[in-house]
Amino acid sequence: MAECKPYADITNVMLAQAYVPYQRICTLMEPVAALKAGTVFPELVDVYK
Amino acid sequence: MDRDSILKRLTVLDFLAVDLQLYLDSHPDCTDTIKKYNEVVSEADGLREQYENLFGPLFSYRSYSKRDEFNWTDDPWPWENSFNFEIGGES
Repeated sequence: MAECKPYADITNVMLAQAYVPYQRICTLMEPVAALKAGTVFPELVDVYK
Repeated sequence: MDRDSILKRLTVLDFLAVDLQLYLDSHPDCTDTIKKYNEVVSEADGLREQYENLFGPLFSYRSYSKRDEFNWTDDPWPWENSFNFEIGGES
């Protein structure tokens, strides 16, 4: 199936408006890895790459 | 399972439960996640019962195993170093 995108698109973007994209679940991390990463959602690990 | 591995597994499962619950706060109708959340919680409670039957109470105010005697006071206290497992540093 298509590459799973873990967030919804932001439509009708307005100037100088902050947006937090709506989360979509794709995969969950392995439990132990999740504890060490601090989240079970891989897309939330180190977003500021 | 020995005591440390049950405690580690409980630490992992409780973390998952909290993280999934946070997701469910904003996605309350996501049935897959609800199913996963329920699995995590029931596995954790099963482990708590197993732990308590083998090693004594985890909580002073709640019990997961049907015990007649109250032995919260006669086990090593949670803050004693020997009672705690090491979470960091291993694979």
